Amino acid sequence: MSGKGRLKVVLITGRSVKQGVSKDVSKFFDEYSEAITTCEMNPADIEVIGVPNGGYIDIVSPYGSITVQVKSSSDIPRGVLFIPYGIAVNTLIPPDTEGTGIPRSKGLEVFVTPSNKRVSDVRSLIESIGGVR
Amino acid sequence: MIASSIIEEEAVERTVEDVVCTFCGCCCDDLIVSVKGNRIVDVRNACALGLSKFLHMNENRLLKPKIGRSTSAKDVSLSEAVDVVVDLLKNSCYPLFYGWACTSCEAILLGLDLAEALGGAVDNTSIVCHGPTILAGQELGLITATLGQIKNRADLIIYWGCNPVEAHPRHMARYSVYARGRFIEGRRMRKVVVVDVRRTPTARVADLFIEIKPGYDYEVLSALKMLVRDLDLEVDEVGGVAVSKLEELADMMVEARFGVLFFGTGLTMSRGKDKNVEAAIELVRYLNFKTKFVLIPMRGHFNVTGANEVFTWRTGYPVSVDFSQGYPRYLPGETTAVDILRRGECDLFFVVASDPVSHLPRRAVEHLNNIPVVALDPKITPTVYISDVAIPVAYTGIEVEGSVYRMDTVPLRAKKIVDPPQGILSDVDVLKMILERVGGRM
Repeated sequence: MSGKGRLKVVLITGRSVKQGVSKDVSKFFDEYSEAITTCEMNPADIEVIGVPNGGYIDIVSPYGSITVQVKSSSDIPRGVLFIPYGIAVNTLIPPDTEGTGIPRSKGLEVFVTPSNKRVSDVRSLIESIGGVR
Repeated sequence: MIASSIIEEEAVERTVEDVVCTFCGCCCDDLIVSVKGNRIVDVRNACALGLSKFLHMNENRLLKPKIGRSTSAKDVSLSEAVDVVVDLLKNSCYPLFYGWACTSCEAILLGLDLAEALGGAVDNTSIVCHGPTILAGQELGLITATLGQIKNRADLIIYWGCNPVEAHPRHMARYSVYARGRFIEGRRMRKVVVVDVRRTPTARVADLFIEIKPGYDYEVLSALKMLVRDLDLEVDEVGGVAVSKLEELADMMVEARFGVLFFGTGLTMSRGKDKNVEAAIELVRYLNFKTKFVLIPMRGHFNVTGANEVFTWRTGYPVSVDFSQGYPRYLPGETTAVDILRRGECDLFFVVASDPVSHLPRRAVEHLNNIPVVALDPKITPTVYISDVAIPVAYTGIEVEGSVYRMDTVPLRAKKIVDPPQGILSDVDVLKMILERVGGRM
């Protein structure tokens, strides 16, 4: 399933200090946008995808896709991608709750590929959900 | 502005002690807040998350009620905004009231009354954190304790699928690992275990770190259930963990005099969800045949535990309550907010003290393109930004007082420290105005 430049990984979402601190300043400020559009992966996986540390990747799930910056972290095991909670990653999360009421926000299989796009813009994501009337 | 800054310059600085932090479920009640004039200038004892909330509370603030979405919004008076909200509610067949994590129990009660009066559904943010813990607790019960008991007695601390260093930064210092308790005097008398799918900052303080494969919590917990009952595992590894390492953990658990399993969304949001929590509860149940062991969910947002408490007093159910039949019904997967939104069933979305546009799956909240959205919030959040009507409210626990529940269900009284901006009322006052107009009980 995973060829050169394309990798299947398990998506884990969670709180980070930067996301938690910046969300209560403003979700429209750059610091928050950066926090929720920066993911962490194992350096070996980043090498497989073929992007530099700090480069851009597309993350694709059956429910949507986003472009984020990838940072190398040896604390993340191979085959796992960690990204903070927020509107960006929720583009990828299944809305089906499997009869529990809670979406599966950890453990979803997604594909990552190198990207030549800009990082997903948080304001555009908001407006595409709510529509500008 | 000039006048107010002169007043502030001349104002005497005062301090308010024993302030309850309004960020996470730790509800640390030892903050010391310095106030000059009507502005918070310093907060002692808070973590980075709490500090940010207190010091940046007025940034990106919603100061006037508004009607209209995003850039087409226009400011209106409070009475005009309430008129529009009441009309929208009266014309709605099935409104969904959602949020309630960052407000007081008093406001949550009014939200339940609104939902009942209008035959709508009402849900809280547990559905994106510990909803499965509630489901598991309803099946098996929770063997639990207060954080004070952990501080004073626990000699084995396990953090499973949670990362308090980043999500509950004072949890370890105030209630567990480093806390100086009556019988357990700090770190040297406690053993610490972290189980996670990645080496989190919390894992760095552990005596034993166990890294499991994502989605294998249920298997690992089941293996531990066997080991603590002295049953043999006929495999070499479970969920990516060598059995020898699991045996080491099982021995630590059995040998503890008072153990605690703190667990987070690593269990509730992963494959298995409530079944993972059930496995954790069963493990703790077996451990209690040999020693004293409890488990405590690491509840996230401020008063989300209070939302579960108040929902239960009022309706019998802690989350996801539907009043469309005239009486409370609770069907996880049916009456839960994500499912109602995904199926496009509600015809109005009323949000209090939460930001579902950011934190629910996009495919679910896309329904907000089709229906009116009303939001009550102190700040301009993404949900406020796309709302048809937004009403500013005061911060609970900073600008108005109220009752809240800590993650271990200990109730606390959150204080008023400063006045809200002129003309801004509490969620309680705004909800009362709306409830009175739609003919609900008060």
